[in-house]
Amino acid sequence: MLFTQPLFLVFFAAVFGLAWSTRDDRRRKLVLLAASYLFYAAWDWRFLSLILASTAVDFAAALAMERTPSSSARKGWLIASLTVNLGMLAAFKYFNFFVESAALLLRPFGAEIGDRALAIVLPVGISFFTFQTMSYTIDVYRGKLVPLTSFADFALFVSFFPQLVAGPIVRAAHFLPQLARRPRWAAIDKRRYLALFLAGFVKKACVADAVAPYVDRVFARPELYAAAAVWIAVLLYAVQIYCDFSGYTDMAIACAGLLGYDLGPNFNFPYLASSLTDFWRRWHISLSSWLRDYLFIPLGGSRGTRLFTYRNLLLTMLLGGLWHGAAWTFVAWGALHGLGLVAHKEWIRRTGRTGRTGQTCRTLRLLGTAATFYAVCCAWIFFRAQSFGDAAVLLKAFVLFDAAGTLALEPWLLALFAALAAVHALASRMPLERLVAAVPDGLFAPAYGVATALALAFVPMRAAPFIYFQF
Amino acid sequence: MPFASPPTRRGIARWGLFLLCWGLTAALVGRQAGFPEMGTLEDKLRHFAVHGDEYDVIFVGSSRIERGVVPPVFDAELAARGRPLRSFNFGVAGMEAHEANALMRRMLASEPARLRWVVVELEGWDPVLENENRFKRRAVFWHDAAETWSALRSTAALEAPLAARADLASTHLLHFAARLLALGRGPDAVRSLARTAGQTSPDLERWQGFKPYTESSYRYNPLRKHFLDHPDDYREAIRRLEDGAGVAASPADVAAVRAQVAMIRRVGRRSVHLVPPSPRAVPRLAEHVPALLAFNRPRDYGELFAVDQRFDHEHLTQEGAERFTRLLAARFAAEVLDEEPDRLAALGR
Repeated sequence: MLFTQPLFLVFFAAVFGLAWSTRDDRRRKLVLLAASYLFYAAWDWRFLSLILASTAVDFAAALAMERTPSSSARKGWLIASLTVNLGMLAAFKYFNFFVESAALLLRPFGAEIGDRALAIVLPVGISFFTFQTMSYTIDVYRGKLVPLTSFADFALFVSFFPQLVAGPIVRAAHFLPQLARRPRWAAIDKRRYLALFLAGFVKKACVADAVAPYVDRVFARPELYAAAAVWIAVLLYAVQIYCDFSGYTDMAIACAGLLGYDLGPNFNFPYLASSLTDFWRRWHISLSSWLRDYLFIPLGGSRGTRLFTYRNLLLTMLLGGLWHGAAWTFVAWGALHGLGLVAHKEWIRRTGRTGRTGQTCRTLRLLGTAATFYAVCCAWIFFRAQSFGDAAVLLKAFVLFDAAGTLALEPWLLALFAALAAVHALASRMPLERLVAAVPDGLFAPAYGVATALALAFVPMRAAPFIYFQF
Repeated sequence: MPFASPPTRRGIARWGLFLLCWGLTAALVGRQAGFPEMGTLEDKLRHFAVHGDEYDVIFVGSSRIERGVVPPVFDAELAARGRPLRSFNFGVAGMEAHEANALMRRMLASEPARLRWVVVELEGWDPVLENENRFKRRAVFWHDAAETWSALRSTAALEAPLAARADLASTHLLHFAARLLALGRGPDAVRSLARTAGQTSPDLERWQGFKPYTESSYRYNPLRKHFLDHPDDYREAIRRLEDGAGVAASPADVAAVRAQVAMIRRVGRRSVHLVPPSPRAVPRLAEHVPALLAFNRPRDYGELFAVDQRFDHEHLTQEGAERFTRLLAARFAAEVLDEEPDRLAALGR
């Protein structure tokens, strides 16, 4: 059930009506929980047991930690919880990756471990809900959070359907207090969330899905294409992945908001970032802050020597890359970002420039934005390419303008990219909230009707699944 | 109540306004978009928009019509018989019965001045939408109210499990909704805004809609290759055709073809149904149509089924098409025109 499909709209309308017409708050949350499980079961009902197991283990571990005075026992419970969560990830997401990598590593030494890869179906959203539950137990262990005593509330936190399959990764400290009080219908900014849903729909269905065929064509056989075509495809992939993921996030935030819950931001015009450090403050914010708080800082953060900090940064980004997918190309993507972040830190140290507003001239900022976008595009090549061989061909064309292929892509796609870049820049100056607030009360409904019709008119006839569902 | 208040008049009015603006915009987009891209159709429509009033006869159907009926030959043959008429081939590759209806409804609404006979390829009204065709613009386009209703009736009459019929019915309804909402028609609307009227390809003008196979078709067409490589398949198909006289028409087929005849009659035109020479099984609907010109009888029209006259199983070569057209013109003159001499006399032809 994709957010862009009519079935989801029917499902959401039913949940919305039921939730808001249920007087009792406990029942209301049970309605949302049942809807969330139904939503997940619509993908694959067999994995309901997985999400239930994860929920039960973390709920019990957190309660046990709270009840035991012994710090070693608390640590034991935390380790048990992390082992279950990471074990599930390892088994379902990384098993084949580990086996294939081991086979590759051992082959030069003459050791053959045969074909041990299993036909494992990746449970949708597993990377998201395991990180979410892990943050809960870690926060309880750190004493930052009081564990919940209501299993239903905790289960709803883990499985809340708008963010279940592709985030944002909501922190318990942000979401659980919202479950403690009943949302008020009058307090909800309905116009903002309706507009946000439509904006997300347009990003995903009208932009990401529309450019996807051109991107797929080039990334499938990069050696056939000329350098200009590779350039267009890489630029369009940058558009596609942003519109796909942030479009999904917008719709998730809007659905949650219409039900009375805030999920927090996940994107803030990332392609306007003036450095890679800035980029990671704007791209997939819920993951980057998770990695910062639960990986980078526990590794030692920037508390030690310079080299120690750089090591931590690199490790965090390598694991961040691996989180996205069980392939070495994702690790390479993370490594490139890690190296970029280290380079930026080193540049700041040497020049004393932070790149933040007011400290550098406008031209330098613009140059920084262009360079950052170019670097991000180079890294996207590894994120999207099917192999290192393909990535090398694409990178050669994108960096050196050197390609053996001759096939071209339609030049108007470059104009489309320019138009979308302009919209991205303009939208950062006129946030959606302000735009919606500027529409007179009586005009919102007709304008929304026209906008909905136009959005649907530009939808490709076949929807593609969201890219981040595979993670 | 958790809601601030029961729905107010203002709230209901806003919903109404929202739906009204949505519907109006979708209708405008759909109207502007016109037909989706289908082979040569756009070119033919553009030609017909300018020259529609010059034609007395149009042929509507699939590639069997587009590649099989040669209007200049048809016109010359009728002229030689003292019946000077002009015809146009509106055949389009892949066109099915429902789609042909949607096309005719649009074309006939423009009331072409001289048009008298609509020759339609007779086909079964199969409601099954193959997976690869689902939600393609063409499939969505023909789902207007009349065709959707017809498809739903055919679906109900299918001999299939209830669940399969329910799934198919819901698919047709979703196509109808997609058409109503002008889903995915934006690019067509933009294209039609940029489209210039008038100029069409010289080949189209020369052949009046007939599309001859090109040299490269003979070299690279996979269906042609299959036809040449597997002659036994073709012989077997012909043998089956000789054994049976088509398939039994379902009640849905009967209702649909009657509705088609009535639709053409309502706008003052005469329908003539045509079965081109092809091994394809066609429902037996002769008694439900006013005129039927069937050429799918290898015993009577062996020359049209000769291997050297065929491009592949379904289609004729240009030589075969011209031969078929001459036979078609002869039967058209004898079985259709001779029935209404008074009317022709009134027209002064």
